[in-house]
Amino acid sequence: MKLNKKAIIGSGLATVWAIVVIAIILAIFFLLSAVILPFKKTSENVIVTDKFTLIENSESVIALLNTLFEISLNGETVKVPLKDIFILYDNNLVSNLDMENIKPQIKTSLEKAYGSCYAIKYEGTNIFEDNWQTSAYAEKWQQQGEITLTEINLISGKFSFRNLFDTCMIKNRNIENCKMACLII
Amino acid sequence: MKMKKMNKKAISFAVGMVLLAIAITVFAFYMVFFVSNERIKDIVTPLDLINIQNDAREDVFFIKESANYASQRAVYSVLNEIPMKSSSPYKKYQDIDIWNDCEPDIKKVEEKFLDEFSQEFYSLIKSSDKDIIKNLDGKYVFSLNNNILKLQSGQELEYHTLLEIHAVYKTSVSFEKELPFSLNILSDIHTRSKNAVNTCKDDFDCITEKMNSDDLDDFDFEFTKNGDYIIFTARTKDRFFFNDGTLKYDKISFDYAISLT
Repeated sequence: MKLNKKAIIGSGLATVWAIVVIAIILAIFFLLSAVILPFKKTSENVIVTDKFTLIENSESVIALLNTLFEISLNGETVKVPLKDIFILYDNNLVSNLDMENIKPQIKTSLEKAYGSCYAIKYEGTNIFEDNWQTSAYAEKWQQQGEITLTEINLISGKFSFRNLFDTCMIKNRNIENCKMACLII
Repeated sequence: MKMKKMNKKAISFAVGMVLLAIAITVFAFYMVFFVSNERIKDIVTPLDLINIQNDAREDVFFIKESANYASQRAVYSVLNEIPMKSSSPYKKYQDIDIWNDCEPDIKKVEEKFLDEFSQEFYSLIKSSDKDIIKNLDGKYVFSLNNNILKLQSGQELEYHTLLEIHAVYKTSVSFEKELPFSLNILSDIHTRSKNAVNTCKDDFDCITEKMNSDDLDDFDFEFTKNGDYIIFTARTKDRFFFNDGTLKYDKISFDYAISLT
């Protein structure tokens, strides 16, 4: 009986020790998980943020291409969407003089929405002198490769739009700061 | 001996528990470091979806633009040579169709429009540098109801994620396009012009008044008297992209004659 009691106490103690050891191991595991997981989350967030700045915003660029601009055709003032202006210019259906009147309109319209934070390019035509209408501010960000690039295939060629304002909003999440940075009045 | 035997059992049990705990821990670490990493790669994030949606939106835009330009060219093609209801060749005056004894055949007009549209549309679709768009060649059914052109595709655009767990994003490329005017208007122009000349003869102010109505609002009309005929020039108010040998962006006009006698 006495021997059995000792044995029971011994096995009980061994069980307690085993539970303690398991508890310690589990505690270490949870501690390590708690330390590692936030890192994993952060690194995932970083990837997400970087990817997000590179996400295209086709909807706003398509809206821009559908924006109507007033142009003079054969002495008549007509409203033509930007996408059609490219075709007209590409095929010499609109005179250089008329094009000179259109360009400031396009610029004003873009500056109203994006301030100095945009860059546009139209492949297949030199509608804009340097083929890349960039602002100084946008150019700086562009060199850093941080501006979202959206490319839209038109019937007549490829239209590219870089939008720094959206990038700014994603990074700063403050519309006033971004408006100030992009000189949007 | 009995006690030692009992202790051995207890120790074996305790050691067993410790080994089990170690096994669970090793397994848990394995899951955390390897399996969960792979799981992250498998998950379609909202950003993947946004990018795919953007691709889809751009492709649908290209298809709709193809329909837009194709419809403009098809309208030109129809107005340039309007199919008429006539079993025998109808009369002409100085190469201008005389509309007294014949009238536009709207069924043939619509058939011609859809035929021209289909050719232009597929030609533009095939000019795309994307295979997903080119593959829509021949997959559409086109129908016309007044000024609504319906493009029904038997196929959706499918975008596949480049992930181990395969995900597919589908978007419909069936849509409707509103034409600037219904092609039935040609029948109205015919009736109105004949009535105007019958009533007004060569009184252009009177003819102008008769032709000036809301249902013909998409066209401007000019008239000249030439012999026993009033020559009508109907001109669209909207401008169209069309090709008559060279690409043009202009109003489309067509002439027809109504006899005064």
